[in-house]
Amino acid sequence: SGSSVCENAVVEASGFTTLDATIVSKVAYISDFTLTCSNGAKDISLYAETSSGVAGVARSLDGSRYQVSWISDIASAPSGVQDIKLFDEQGYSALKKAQRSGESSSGVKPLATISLYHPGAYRGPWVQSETIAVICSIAIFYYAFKQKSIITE
Amino acid sequence: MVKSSKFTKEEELLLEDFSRNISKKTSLMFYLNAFIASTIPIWLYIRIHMMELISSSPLFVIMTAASTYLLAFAYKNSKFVLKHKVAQKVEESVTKAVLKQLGDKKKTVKSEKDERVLWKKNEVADSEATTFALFYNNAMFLMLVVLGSFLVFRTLSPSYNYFFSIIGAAGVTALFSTSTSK
Repeated sequence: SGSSVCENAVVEASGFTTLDATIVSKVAYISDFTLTCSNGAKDISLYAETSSGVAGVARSLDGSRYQVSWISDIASAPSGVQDIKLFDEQGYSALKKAQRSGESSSGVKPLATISLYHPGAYRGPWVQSETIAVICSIAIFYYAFKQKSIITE
Repeated sequence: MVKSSKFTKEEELLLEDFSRNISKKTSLMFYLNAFIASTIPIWLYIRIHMMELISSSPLFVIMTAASTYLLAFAYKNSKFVLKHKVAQKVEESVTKAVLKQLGDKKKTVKSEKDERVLWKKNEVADSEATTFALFYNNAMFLMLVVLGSFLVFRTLSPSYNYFFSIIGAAGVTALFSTSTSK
């Protein structure tokens, strides 16, 4: 231990995303993970590149667990597999350097990549219940009107 | 002088049946139905538009009373118009049914037959027109309430929405019932 470079990083992650967006205004993406290094490196400062940009990764006090989270507007929240690229200090500075010089950041190799699956949030029924009420009441009145014209013709 | 009337007692009864006046029983039924139809929207405004039952109760009482009156007025007008139309429609089948009923009594005089047909026709037309007037006006009233509540006045606050939807729906229903469609 004591090394700040993690070799052969293995990530074990569990995730959460907002599934019901009927009464909230943002969709949350949370990934909770552990990092195991073959050289036993611990307490590593991590940075994550997500669909909403680069952010620091939160680390538990004992250094065993990490968490990365971000939010997105419901309308523009991407669904499907979300790749979270993890970088250590060196990777992060390389990433920043690439971004500053306007290069693509895809050349910077991440320490590990987490796949967080977001199936998409429920945004309410396709047809509002008042629409159904309006259509039904019009249909019933239409039937009544038809009957009336048969009687009074 | 009561006796100066040119009509017999039967004829007067018959005339009354085809007049715009309705019996106490029918009138009571119309008002009861109008009251029920007028109270239904209260549920919509409490559960969906989140109005307070207690604090809004004066508005509910006034609007329900007004719409009960207007709807009963609409039922009455519709029934009057419809009754004549229904009577024309059912004449043939009623005549057939009455004659069949009287079939075995060969001796029945023609005037009595006619009278029976007339009474039966009146009875059938009355009940059909009453039922249909209730159905038609309720369908119209509730449709207009739903349209007012969810489309026309949806940007207004619930109290104004309720006021305009109910008075609009009941008013239009009453107004249309006065039209004598040919």
